[in-house]
Amino acid sequence: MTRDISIVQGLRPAGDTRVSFGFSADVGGQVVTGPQKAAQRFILLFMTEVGSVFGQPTFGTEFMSALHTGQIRTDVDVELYFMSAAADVLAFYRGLPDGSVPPDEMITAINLVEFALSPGYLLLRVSLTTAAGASREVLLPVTDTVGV
Amino acid sequence: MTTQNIDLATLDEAAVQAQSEILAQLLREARPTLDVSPGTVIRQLVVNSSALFTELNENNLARLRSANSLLTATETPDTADASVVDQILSNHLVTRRAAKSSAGRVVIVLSQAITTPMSSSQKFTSLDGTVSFTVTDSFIGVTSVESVSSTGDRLITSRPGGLFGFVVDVVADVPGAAGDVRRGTRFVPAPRLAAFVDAYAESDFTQGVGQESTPELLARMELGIAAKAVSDRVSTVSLLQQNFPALQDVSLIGFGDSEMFRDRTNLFGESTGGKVDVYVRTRGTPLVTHAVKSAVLVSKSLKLWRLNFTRDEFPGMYRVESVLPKDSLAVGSFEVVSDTRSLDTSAIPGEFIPRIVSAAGGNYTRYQTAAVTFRDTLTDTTELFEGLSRQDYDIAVSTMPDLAELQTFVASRDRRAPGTDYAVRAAIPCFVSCGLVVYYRREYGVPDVEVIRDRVTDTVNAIKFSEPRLSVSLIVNTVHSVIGQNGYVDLPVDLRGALLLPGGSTVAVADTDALVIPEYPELGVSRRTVAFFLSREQVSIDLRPVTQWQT
Repeated sequence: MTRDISIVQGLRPAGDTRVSFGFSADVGGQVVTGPQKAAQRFILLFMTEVGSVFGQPTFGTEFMSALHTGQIRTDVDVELYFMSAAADVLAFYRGLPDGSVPPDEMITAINLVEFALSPGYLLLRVSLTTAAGASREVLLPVTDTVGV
Repeated sequence: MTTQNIDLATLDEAAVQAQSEILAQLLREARPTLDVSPGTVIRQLVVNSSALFTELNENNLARLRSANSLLTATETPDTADASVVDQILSNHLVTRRAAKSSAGRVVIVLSQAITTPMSSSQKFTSLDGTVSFTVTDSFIGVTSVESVSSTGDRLITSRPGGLFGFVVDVVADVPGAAGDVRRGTRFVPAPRLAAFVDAYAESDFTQGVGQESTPELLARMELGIAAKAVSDRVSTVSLLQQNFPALQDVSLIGFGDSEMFRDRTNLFGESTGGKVDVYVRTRGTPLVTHAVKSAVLVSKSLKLWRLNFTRDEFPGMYRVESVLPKDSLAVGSFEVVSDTRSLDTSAIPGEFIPRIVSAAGGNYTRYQTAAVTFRDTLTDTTELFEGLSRQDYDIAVSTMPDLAELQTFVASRDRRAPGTDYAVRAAIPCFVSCGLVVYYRREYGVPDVEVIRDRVTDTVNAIKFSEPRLSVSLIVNTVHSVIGQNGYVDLPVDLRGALLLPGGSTVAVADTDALVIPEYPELGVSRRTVAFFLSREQVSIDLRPVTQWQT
């Protein structure tokens, strides 16, 4: 079992799981592991613009890039770009060395449960399933130039 | 220190990624419970950031190692760090030659003889605006001798045509050869001067040099490492160049060389050694110095006058370029009917005099004297007396500067090898002229003829001793470095040379392929002692548009 630094706050197994980023003063120094670590990694991957990390040109997805450039305007756009980004995340996991990720951290399915789209605001509820069968739902509040 | 690079954007992404993998593996081995795989916070925020600076430090270390390596600097001189190269070569007492600004004197012509003050910020700019000079001090043009009380006071004298003039000293604003203007180059003053008519260079300005580049400095490295003593050729050249930075080329003729004749002046005509002739080139082209000199009438009927030059006047001079009446604004020269060289090897206090037994053997050394006879067609000699009557003339004399100083230097008791005498000689000159016809394609614009002229003269004047020929192909290549593929040089090229032999005679050489230096070893003339000189005025360029470009 390996650990990572906890940077995604509000990540819980169930209930209102709206997340935020930061090293919280209340829970500073915490580490995560298991499904929670998997969810954190998914969030990092999903919300990093591909090509924005020097030295890791393929890390990330195009979802945030599409959002920033105004390509996500309708419900269909949200679903299309989400599916593409989810595929990229799953491909990333498949590319990791065999045995390097324990089953409870290996994400095998990503589903967009629901979302709310309005001018200047996008909220995604995402369900993550690991190889061990565990699930996590996360609420990603994405506020950007949506539909502008 | 410029070796250090702090720009992260210049790093290679693949190299950074590789560093990240290495650091991740190290961390994985040291802390097995930490997940440092891609996508984790530790990897993204900690390991990747560390990899950036690790790679940056590796780069800077490599740059430092490269810069500290004389071998690497020699192999890639253009990219070597200049400051580090300076530090390395300073260990061998080789220092980069600093830039030097050209300096000279400007004649200011006025319409009235009025007191003309000039502040120390007074500038003179060439008519084409390419080069500017500033006076070396504040000056005042004064109208009477009594008013001259300091070096900044310059007497205004009358000039032909009812004009007046005085002379000030100037130095180029920008170091380098661009400030090497020729005599007569005209200037515009700023601010403008009262009663100003004209301003021009009194003589050729002394040679300015740009700061020595790293490739040039490294080329001298061998000389720097050599022992600075008059022993072998490398060491001797090293010693001379260290003490005379303007020295462009040196050729040593010694025992066993066919050009060495001084050591054969014995009963048997055999070489005995112990003598070295040091041929030097201290300037790209000879320095033409203008002065006023008194001549004595030698023939009333033929109107012949004679200029006598002692060994201290224009040491080792090549020739009198022009003789004109004093203060004349005319161009051209009186006809020089004879130029006889002699020798003065009388003692100079504190100096060792090399053994030179013939006048020809003393040509182009500081021991040379000269008697130049010319015909003054303007002066009425009816009431004058041969051998007594004297008159001042404006003369222009071409020399290789620093000859006397070099002779004193190598012959000094402390420096001279005890068993040897040294005679410093100016390079035997081959004055070159070149005529070019250059075709250009209209659609690419007219080539800059002045740039072509400058490049061609620089190329020819850079030819070193021991190069046996000046090839036309060298000139053609130089022209193409300016015009590229947008034109061509029409062949044949008119290339001529006038070789001034010691002893006074001139050998004309001309060819459409190359000028080859003829060998006269008994006079010391060979490719090891002759230098090609090409001045800008001797380059004729005829630009013609191409009517139809064949493809």
